[in-house]
Amino acid sequence: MNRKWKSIGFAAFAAALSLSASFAEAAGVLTIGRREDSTTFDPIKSAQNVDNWVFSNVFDVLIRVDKSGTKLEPGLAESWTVSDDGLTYTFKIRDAKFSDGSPITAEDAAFSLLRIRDNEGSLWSDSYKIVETAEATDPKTLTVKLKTPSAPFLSTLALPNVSVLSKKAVEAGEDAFAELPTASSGAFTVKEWRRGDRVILEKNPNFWQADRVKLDGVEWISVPDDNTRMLNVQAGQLDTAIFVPFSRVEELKKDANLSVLIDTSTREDHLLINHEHGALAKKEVRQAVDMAIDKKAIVDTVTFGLGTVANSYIPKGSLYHYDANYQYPYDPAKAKAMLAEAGASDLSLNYVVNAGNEVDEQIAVLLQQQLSKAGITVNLQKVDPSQSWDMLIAGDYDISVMYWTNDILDPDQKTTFVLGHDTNMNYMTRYKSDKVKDLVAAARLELDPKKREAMYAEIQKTAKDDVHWVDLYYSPYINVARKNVENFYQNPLGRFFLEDTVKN
Amino acid sequence: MGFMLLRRLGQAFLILIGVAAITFVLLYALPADPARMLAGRSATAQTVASIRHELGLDQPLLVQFWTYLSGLLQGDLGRSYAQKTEVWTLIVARLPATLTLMAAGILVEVVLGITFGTIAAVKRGGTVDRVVMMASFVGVSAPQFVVALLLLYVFAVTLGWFPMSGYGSFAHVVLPAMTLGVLGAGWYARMVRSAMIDVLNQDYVRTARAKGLSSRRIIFRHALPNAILPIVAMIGIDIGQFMGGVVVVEAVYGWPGIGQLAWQAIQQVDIPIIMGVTLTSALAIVTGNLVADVIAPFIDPRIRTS
Repeated sequence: MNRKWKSIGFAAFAAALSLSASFAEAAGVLTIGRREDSTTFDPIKSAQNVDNWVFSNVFDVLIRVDKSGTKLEPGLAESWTVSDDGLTYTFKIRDAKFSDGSPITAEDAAFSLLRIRDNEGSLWSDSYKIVETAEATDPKTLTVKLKTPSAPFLSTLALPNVSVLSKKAVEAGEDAFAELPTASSGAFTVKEWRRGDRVILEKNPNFWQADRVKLDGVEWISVPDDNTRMLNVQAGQLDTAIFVPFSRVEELKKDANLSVLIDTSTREDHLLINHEHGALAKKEVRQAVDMAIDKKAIVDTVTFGLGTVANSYIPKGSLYHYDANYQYPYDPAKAKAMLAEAGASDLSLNYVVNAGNEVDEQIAVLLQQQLSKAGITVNLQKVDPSQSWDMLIAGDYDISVMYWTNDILDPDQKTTFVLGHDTNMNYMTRYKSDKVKDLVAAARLELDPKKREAMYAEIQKTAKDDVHWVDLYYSPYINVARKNVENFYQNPLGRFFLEDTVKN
Repeated sequence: MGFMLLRRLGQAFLILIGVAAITFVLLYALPADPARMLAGRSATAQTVASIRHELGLDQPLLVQFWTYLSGLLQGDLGRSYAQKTEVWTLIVARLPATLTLMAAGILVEVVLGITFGTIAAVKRGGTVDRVVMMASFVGVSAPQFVVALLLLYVFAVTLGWFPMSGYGSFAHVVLPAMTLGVLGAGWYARMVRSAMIDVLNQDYVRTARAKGLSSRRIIFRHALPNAILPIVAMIGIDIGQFMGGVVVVEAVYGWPGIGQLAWQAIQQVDIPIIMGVTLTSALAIVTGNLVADVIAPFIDPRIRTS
């Protein structure tokens, strides 16, 4: 046995040794350490951030989101017009090439849009069902007809999942393309994917903005362990690392070789309330719960002061965030009085907690203490994260903490999910308000930005007054880079602008 | 011998089917919904339902198991939910990394274990013995992730002798192999020590000593070969231990083997991969034990005659 295992081992060793030569880092290659490896290179088949962040390096979209995460800017579509009825969109495709040298045509754009709508493996077909037809009226003109007018439609075109893919390359073999795309429309091409280890990207000389790209290449390296990943950057074995734990920020800031990068995200953590359960159906009771929670204390403990207290379901820094929104003061005494008035002074709540999630458990214990000061008894029910979801859907809970990050810059996506009164019961809260329901539907159709903004302000005010849930806090992306790396930036929607990153 | 082997192979086959059945039931009995994980938070119920249908998760459990099993019997481990690739392809791509790590780990534990076990036995009762036994105790009890971080901190961060993580050269394998091997080395040192002490008290050793043989010759020619016999059997069993250890070690050192594959699959509730890795580990354990059983008679004549 020894001999057998050893010979296999030695064979593997020999192979490993021969690889070591390739380990010397090229000068202009940026290494990024992250927790998980990519899962696919077919953009329509993933709904995970780990994939989206690499897709946007490799594929370009018709319309991009800018660095602030609040405005759209031209991508592969040089310009576009919208018909007066809001149903027909005409995009002019810019002169650009795929990495294999073939031109990017309206045909490719139409193919990509219809593919995400119709392909059986697409995880995003719902978002594009609104598209009636998409066709290349000439090689450089894409005409899209919608079933109904839609204000957020343009911003859904910025999702990395609907990137413009080469029709020829995809049709040559979907599975092979998902492994290693042979043509890319973005700043980089995929040179190699060593599964479980790293994704190796190389500058795409045919990218239409190739002049803008300073790096020769990028390596997305998976280092699952948070400690190891941080140590790697501290020792200079990685240029950058993402997903820095809140607890490590202070220490990393003291390291003169490193810059800790804190970029605005769209993550909002909130406390879901089941409006159908007993006293929670009363608005005053929900308001009392909101007042009994000291959000500042949660921000300080859980995010080490790096987050900010949330005052609306639309995160600060996002489009149509209503900054003047009301914030319930922390006042346990008043909360107690309000509960007594509402006849709920013996309120007892069942709190579903994701077991094993450090942050979740921490918040649970804090909330339990805080709510007890207002006379509310909280029973913590720890369950597996995958189980909690089913319990929330079934309504088998009173309160539970969840979070949300936006995929598109338009607030419609989250608003519909959270307040749109559709099949998911307003994100499992069972909140009901005809006024909000009508506003959400109207805001989707309203094409005048000023009027939309006013509608969203009204939605945020009403939802806050009704306490559809308790807004807890917003938290940023935290990444770390060596001092010789410049412009390593992530916009609120998570896109890394690696086309601007410089490694000195 | 031939019949014995055939029977053991039959048993091994049944064990694997059993492992497949138990793992399958455990994974699908979980309230986790792979379709939901795949679809992401913003997906509508409709999308989730269509994914569930596409993956065949809407079928009765028994039908799903039968589909899986009939695939398995034809050597088909199915397709990953998240990565859309044949599970077999994914595992094969990761196997060399894990096998390298395991081979290096076994080397570490065998070399360290036998060396220190022998020294301790020979210097029985002395300071060296006590230090070795103490160290082996620490090695056996320290959690693997603590050992991993400790080695990482001392040898990679402070001294800078080895890279911190990654894969591809001899230097990369040293720390992970040490982490993996140190636990077994502790056990082996203790086993070799007590076996050595036993052997050294045997009549034939006394005879050898009376004959005037050098103590080096007694230890290496007569005592050691007998004392390490139990270790051969242990290595087979150890492969199972290692399969558990690689998950932790691969995560800490960013080693792209099947442990990391499993780790990521668990996060994503990617059941076909979890099944595939579990079965691969089971296969490795069963094979390890089988091979240990088969070669034992060749090493130890006593087993052959009994």
